[in-house]
Amino acid sequence: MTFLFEGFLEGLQMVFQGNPAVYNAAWVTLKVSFGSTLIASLIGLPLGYFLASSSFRGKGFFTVLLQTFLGFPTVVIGLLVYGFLSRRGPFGFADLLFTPSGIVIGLVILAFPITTMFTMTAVSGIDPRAREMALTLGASRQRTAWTLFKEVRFGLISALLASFGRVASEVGIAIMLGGNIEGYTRTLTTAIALESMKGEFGFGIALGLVLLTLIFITALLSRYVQKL
Amino acid sequence: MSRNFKDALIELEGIKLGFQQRLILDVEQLQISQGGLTVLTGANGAGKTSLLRVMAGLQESDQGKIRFKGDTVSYGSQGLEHRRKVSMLQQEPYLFSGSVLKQVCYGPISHGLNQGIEEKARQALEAVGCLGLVNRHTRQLSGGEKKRIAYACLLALDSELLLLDEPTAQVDQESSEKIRKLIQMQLDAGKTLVVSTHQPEWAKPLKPRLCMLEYGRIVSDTRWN
Repeated sequence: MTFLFEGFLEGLQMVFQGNPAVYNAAWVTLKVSFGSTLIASLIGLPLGYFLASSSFRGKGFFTVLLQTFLGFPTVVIGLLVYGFLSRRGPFGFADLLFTPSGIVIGLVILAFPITTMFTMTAVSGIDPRAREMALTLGASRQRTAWTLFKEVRFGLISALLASFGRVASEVGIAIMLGGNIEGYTRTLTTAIALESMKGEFGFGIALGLVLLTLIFITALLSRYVQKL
Repeated sequence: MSRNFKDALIELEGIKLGFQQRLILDVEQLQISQGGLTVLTGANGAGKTSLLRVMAGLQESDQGKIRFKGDTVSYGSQGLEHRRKVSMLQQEPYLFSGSVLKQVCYGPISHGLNQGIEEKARQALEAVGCLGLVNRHTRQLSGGEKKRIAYACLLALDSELLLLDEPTAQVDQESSEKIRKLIQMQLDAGKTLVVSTHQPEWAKPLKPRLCMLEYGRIVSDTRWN
């Protein structure tokens, strides 16, 4: 217990003293998490809306495919993207491996099924009269979609929050595609994994505290947005 | 059926609509002339709402054609032009989350208007006797108020054809009377209205054309003087 308590105190000290390694990792985490959540939303929100509001042959299969992606092991995503981005891979020329952009690519693959499925569930649950009301008042399809999005904004914000939480806490993809390079691709989670293996428990706790704070602030912000 | 086809605002021909292997709408021919009130009546499931939804461009029929002022009506993304000429009041209107004013402004904004929207909305709210609710949240309204606000949404649009689905269902006598007066005002302004109702007697003072539906078919079409 003393070991845990001391580690926690050491962690707090590092956070409040502004340890540069902790804040560098936090900055990288923020960049890749926001970037990947944004891209995943740009794909997932319209795709989820489309799936919820249309019927086409193969929709069931496509939905099952997305559900499978939800449970896709992150190391497999990391491995596949690694293969594509490595020098011998088809996108090796882009030099994206062991860069923040490389991590973002992997995280987008992880996050977009989450935003898509959450959006699909939220939009499917809308009262069908809402769509008809928008249409009969002369709204275009785009405006109708925007109106329905606003009606289910709680569900959509949950989708973004779930995606953000998932990518911010991801380790496997960040290590495989980022390489854990200090000050460049080292995220809070990869730093925690590294430091705790070295026995630096306090440092790990400090990183964990920052990560939790980031997710807490995001949740607070989303609550504020929902009230708007 | 209406006999004067020359000034038909909307014409339906050979409309068939099925649901779960059952024919719910089978309208051989229906013409509605410009100006005046047509009342659709019939038992539950007779096809009144389906007919209104088809006319509003909200539901595509399986077979048949609809022409509005002679032009064939399209559906889906192509149907926007038609939906901007025809508005429908739902039996249980859905109002978007937000203030009443925002709700009534929704239609004019959707129609691309960018001036005098709020004034138009306030006038429409005044006409339905709900100007006092302008800042109220739509979730705080009673059933009757929702219906009147939804009616105001239609009035703010100035549509060529107004379709009202059971406008007096679940409203008290006073609201029902107000709605009749509103319809009379619209008729006096030369508007065309199609109203579905279980109680056609309610519309009798408005001297409507009365179409009786049974199992999706129009079984009688008379002028009620």
